[in-house]
Amino acid sequence: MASIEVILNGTKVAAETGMTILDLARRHGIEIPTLCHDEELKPYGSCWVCAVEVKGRRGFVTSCGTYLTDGMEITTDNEAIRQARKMALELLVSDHYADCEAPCKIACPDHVDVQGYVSLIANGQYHEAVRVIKDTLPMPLSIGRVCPAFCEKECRRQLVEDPIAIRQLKRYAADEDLNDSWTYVPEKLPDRGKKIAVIGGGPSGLTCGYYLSNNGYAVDVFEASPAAGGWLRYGIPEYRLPKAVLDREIELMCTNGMKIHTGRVMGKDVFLDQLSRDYDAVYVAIGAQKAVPMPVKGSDLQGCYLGVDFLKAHALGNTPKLGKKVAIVGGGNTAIDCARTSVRLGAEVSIIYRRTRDEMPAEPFEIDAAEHEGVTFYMLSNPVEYMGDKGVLKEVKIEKMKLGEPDSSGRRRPEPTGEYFTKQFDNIIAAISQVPDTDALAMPENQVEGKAFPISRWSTAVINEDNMYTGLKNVFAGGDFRRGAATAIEAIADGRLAAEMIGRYLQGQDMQPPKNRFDAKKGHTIREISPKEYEQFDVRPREQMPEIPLPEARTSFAEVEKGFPWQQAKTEAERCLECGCQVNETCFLRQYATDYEVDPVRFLGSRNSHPIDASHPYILRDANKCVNCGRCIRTCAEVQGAGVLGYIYRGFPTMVAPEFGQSLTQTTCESCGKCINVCPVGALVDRNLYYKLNPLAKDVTIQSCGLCGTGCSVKIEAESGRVTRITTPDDKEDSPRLNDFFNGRNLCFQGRFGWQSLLQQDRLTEPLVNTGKGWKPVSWTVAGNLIKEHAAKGKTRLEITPYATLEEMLLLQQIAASTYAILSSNGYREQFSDSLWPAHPTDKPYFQLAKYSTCLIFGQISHTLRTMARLHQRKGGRLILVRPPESGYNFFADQVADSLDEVKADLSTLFIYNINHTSEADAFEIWKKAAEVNNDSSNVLMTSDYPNLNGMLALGIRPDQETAPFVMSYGAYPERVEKGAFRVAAVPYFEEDAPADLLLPQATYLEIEGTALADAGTVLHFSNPARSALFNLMLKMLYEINWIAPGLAEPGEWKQKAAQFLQEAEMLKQQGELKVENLIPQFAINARLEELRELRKQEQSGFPRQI
Amino acid sequence: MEKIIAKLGLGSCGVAAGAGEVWTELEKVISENKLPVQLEKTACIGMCFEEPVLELSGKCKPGVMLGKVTPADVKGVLEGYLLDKLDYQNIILHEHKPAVHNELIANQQRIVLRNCGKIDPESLEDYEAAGGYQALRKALKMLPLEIIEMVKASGLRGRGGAGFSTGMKWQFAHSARNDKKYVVCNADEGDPGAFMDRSTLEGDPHSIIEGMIIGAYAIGSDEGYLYVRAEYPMAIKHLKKALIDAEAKGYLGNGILGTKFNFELHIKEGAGAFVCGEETALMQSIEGKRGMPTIRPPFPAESGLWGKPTNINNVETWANIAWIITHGADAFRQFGTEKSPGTKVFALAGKIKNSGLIEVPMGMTLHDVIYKVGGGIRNDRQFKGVQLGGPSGGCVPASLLDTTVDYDSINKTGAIMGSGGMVVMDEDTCMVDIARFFLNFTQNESCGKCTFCRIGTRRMLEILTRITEGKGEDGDIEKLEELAVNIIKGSLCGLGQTAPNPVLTTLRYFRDEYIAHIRDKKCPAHSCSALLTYTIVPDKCVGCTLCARNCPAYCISGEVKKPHVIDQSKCIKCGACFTNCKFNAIIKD
Repeated sequence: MASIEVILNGTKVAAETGMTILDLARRHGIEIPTLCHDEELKPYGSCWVCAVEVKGRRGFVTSCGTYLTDGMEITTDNEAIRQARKMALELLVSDHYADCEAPCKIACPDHVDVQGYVSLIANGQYHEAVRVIKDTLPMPLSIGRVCPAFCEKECRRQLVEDPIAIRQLKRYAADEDLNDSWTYVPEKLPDRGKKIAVIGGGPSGLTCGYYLSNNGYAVDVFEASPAAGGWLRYGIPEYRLPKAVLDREIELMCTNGMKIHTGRVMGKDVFLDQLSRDYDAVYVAIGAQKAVPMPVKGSDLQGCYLGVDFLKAHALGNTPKLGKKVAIVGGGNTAIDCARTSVRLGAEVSIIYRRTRDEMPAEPFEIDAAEHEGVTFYMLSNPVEYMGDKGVLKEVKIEKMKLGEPDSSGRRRPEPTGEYFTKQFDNIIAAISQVPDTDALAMPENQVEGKAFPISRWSTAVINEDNMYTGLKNVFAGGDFRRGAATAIEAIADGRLAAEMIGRYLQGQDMQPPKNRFDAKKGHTIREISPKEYEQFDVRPREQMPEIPLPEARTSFAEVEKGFPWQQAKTEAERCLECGCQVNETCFLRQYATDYEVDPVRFLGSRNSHPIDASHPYILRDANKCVNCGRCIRTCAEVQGAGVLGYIYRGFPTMVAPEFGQSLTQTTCESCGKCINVCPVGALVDRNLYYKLNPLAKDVTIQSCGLCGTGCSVKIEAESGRVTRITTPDDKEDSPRLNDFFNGRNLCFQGRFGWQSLLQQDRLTEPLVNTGKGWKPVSWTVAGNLIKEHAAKGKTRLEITPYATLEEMLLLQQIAASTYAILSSNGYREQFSDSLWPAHPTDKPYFQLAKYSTCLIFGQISHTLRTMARLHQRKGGRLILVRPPESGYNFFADQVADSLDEVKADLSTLFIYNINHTSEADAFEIWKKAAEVNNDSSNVLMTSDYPNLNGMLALGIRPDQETAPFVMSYGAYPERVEKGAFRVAAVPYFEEDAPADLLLPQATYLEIEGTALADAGTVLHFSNPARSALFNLMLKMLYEINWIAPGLAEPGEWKQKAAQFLQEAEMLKQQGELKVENLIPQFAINARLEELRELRKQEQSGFPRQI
Repeated sequence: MEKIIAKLGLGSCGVAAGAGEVWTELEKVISENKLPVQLEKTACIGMCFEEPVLELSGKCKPGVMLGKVTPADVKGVLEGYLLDKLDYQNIILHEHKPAVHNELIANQQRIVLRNCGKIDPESLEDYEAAGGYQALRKALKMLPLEIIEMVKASGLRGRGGAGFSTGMKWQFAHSARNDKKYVVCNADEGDPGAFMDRSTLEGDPHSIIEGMIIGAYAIGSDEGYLYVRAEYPMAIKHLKKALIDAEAKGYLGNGILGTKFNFELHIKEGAGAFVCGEETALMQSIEGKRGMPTIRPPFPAESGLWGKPTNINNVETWANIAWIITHGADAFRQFGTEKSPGTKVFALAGKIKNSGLIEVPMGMTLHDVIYKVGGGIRNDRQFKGVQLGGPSGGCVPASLLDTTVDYDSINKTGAIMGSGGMVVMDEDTCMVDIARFFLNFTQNESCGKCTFCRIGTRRMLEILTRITEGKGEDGDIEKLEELAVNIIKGSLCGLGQTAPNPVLTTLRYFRDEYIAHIRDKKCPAHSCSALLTYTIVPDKCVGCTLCARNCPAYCISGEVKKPHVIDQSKCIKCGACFTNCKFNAIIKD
């Protein structure tokens, strides 16, 4: 590396040879986008989004693939470069057949994260589902009952059979949450000292007030009616939304301080001008509750009502008197509500509608319900005259209609035919339309600073749709008031936007909506998607929500839908196809496309379409999203060794696929998951066999993996204690305790995916007693008493495995000391090398890799360590494998040997082996050969499958042959048991034929706050990301039987003890009292080894060949 | 009777035209009639349009070359020649059609093709008799740097297309310090309509091998690869035999011709990916990987095959080497121009009379190549343009026919010399469609690595297809140009960097045609079927019903002996009526 000087964007800067333009730019804080670049891999230059210009070079060059030369003149930003990058992104996007966001979320006017909460319901996490819903929709109890579900209309599942029952799932989650011991209420932010008035206590006003009050504002809602709820209360009938449920919902919404003042009418009790002065902001959401009368001759006859008035009167308990025969005019939801209400009031009900059923604006399921309940439909019929007798309605003259050309709404226009018929009715309820009641706004007191409220000719508020601002001082407006009669969910969307904008207004920020994020879409509506693409999914019909019996429905106002039982809700939620991308928050393509304001349709053309490959249990491959950057291919082939991915085809159809286009499961894929780590988009994502993954932000814990002695750092994602995914920490994530994340992005199959079964399959969750006829669950107290009873009979033997934490070992040591019990290791026999382990912590694990240039790996070692050795080789080292297990990795080796004798070792050679996969005899030969070339024992890197073998050896826990009538084993079944002994085993899993009398659930590395001392002195930390109480329960039980002191029943105590022990070990090392590297001269090791060999010979057994 | 020699061209073009049957017949006739004829085989002489070509010669007779020979001709021809009573009807050359032959041959200058069509390519002795391996003997007595100087002095430029100085390239590889170096012959000829390399490989394999041995000696390499596409079985067969023969004679292997120089040469058969003609992709392919170009620098001369310094030249370049060594740099410079010395081999194809393989001195005008050597446009139609350099090249219009054939002049037109494909187009060729054709080729052959090349060329192709289907929109031309610029600037290898050339040059010289397609929905060349309308001129139509009977869409109606009418809504524009009408009563527009 020589120093050179280059010109970067016109400025001379110092650099070194061997650096690329991208390296230099990053050093100088210049952002250059890149998709195909990977730190571990050689420059490739396929995506071209990192294009820059170099003087003298034709065209652009890739900044990732261009090495600096002295005097090079580089331009990283100009119009041509920006346009080229933008075009590259636009081209990539044109063949990126994917949905960033799920279509249901986009379809929802309020953009509720449907996929997020549906997946949580599938995972049984309804509290979390409600939390997600309430981020954008504070009224799931109501909306889950009344929403027309725009989301379901775009649900892709209907291409398989039926859409997901999204509305009903939302209701399920909200009902469960409400009925639980605690109900979700978001944390209230500190008081901001500002107050807001809301006029109108309907869904829009309540939503606005809810979010503002959560955000620390004081909110007063002024409602004209006797109770809040707006149309939900006075329009939606009881049988769809019970008032009691609405009451609970509104009550919950007020938890964070929103105050509702009922019976306060604008223009009578409150005045807009005054409110705008008394409050920091005002939100006007007065709805659209004024019925539009139907201009028919005879409308003034007695027995003629308007739909809105009828429903409201009914809700207030003043139901107008109905005769036997009732006709409803109109085809909207209000008409259906009037019809079904009338049915319940005992009438014989007909609906008169001028078009056909297909054109009815009401929801199909509502129409079906009305028909089911016995409503008669007169389609293509229009009342032209109401005829009465003595001022009372008797007959209705109806004209037959026919359908003509489509009108502006797209529906075919009804045209009169001149044919008439007459029907007898006692009542007619016209439910054709509603508008806002704006009479009061004309009053001078309701003008703001002398300016009239802007009203359209449809009586709706004229406002800026981007921010709900009226243009008047501090007044905002929305909901039905601005849209005309629409849906509750739209009103809520307005209320939420208004709350956000009022917040911005009050904080003096601009009221521009945030810049749109780039959204890849498979189609703008479901009609653009071919059902063929969904043929790969099995048909699973939609769950039908149970309803009350028809006779009851027709005669009472009891709620018709009964709600899902949990199993049905789970089954229904599991049907979700997860259209939204799992990595939509971290996708580089989306980020760059947003940054460069990419036009998604500019280069739209033909595109490649592939079935999603879900054949691998842990790796989901969606080639439709692939950008052909080749990082997965190159990582797999050049670093990991399996090399199972490649490009197939040529030209535009070129794609990444497993060799021969097979499933990954048919290849030599080792399921290390690194391909997922390097994928810059969502073409390769994780799968979890037991958890429906979603893109929601998770609780992140950075800790150690506890599955073997390598001690990798892992990033654990959990949702309320459910571990959902384990990957490796990013550089950005910071946890200084964890050895600089020495494993980088590398994990083995077990650490990356295999843990999933730890938490699921045959998991032991409570103590079990062997009754002789089978296993019976017992309480911890009962288990403790059993232990106490049996242990009292004689001597006690305790066993522990090197898989347990230091805390658990210290615990057993303490018990052994206080109960005079025998303490033995379990599952580990003594080896000659025991004294050669570095039994003290280090903060630089595997430092040897930097010290030695050649890695000599004997037999099988951990996958991560193997990869680290390969990366070491790629930086100029050598790799020698002796008797390696069969693997694609072996092609990397500079030398593959059958025995150590074939290998020349020198001062630069590091010997690596794993004691679990190497016979003691071979291990002896390794140490001997190592000692021959180097008098420093640090040239051997001894590893194991045990996460805490070093700790166990340092604690002095060794095999003990003495038996006892009571054995309690920790981490495995008892090893040495005398006949008739009582056997207790603390293990994570349940096995039917477990050789024990009592099983206690042991916490795994995901369920304990603990520490361990792993290979090479690596200190492991476990932080209980699963929020498990198992260890606490174990301690509590031990305290209850007096095995530990009350003060030691806290896990924290043991953690402290472990830390203290590690500190002591560290100090001992400094004093040189432990056998450590640098201290043993060559002859000493040789002498020690020879001594051991002699010892073994005398035992006449020699070294065992296999362990 | 005097013994005569009968030499039959058995190159791929000859075999394709039926030379195999002629050979069998020749053997049969000669043996059955015990004729005093010595039968010999050779490869393509370049007159592919006349294949099978049989050359007869005798010591005291004027030689004749006979074209389009059929097995039925064989007996008569042989006997006729022997008895000096040859009937020349329907068959060419020399005597009866001197003009054609003279133009074709006299205007050529054959260095690369010096032995092609003359010697038996499978005979090392033939090659040696023609002076073969003398250059190697001479070179081995020179210092490597002397050879490189000589090649440099000759001014030979890489005939693969880019035209980089061969001597300089050798110099780089020579200077690279490494214990191992490779030489590679790029014989992955893939341009549609190009067959220069194939003919050379088939016709004179030793000339390439000799060039490579000399090159290896000059740069200090001991191992080389001939990367030949597997679709050239005859070339591979001839090469394999040549390698065995050369090794047996001590031209290859250890201690070549008694020196300490060792050289081993392998044949690597490519699977026919066009992009493998790109040097970095070619090396990946030799290494057993998918042929995908890699970032340069490092250039092959520094880090090539298996990371070792590698010198890659194409077939034609290698075939020039022995001649230069033998005759000297000055002799080479006698031909061609100052900056582009020597000759260039072209494969003439398309709407040209004398389609085939030619070699002309650099500096000849395109007009002379097409009209003097190529004999002009087939059916004497109007010349419209010539595509130079294959799909990576560009289209040169009639107005630029005075352009001389040399690297710099051709580059100025926007086309490139390329490896020597020359596709001639007449007035019936739609230039939008021809651009689409070439782009379709490159698009399908893109390795799929670079975004611009993989997706960008596809989008250009879609726009061009739309235009030829009459669905072009305003702004399409601008979009094409915008895409072209970034594809050229944002691709790693020559394939992507040149893929838009056919579009850009046709846009440059034939923009009106694009506009006619887009704005007027017309194809001026009457070639894009979607834009055509066939109408019947009532005055000319005699009502013979022939058109109606031949119409596959049954959309022509009319009574017998009365003018017919085409139902435009049903017409599929197949042109059957137009072809069948004997009264020119149908207009294509």
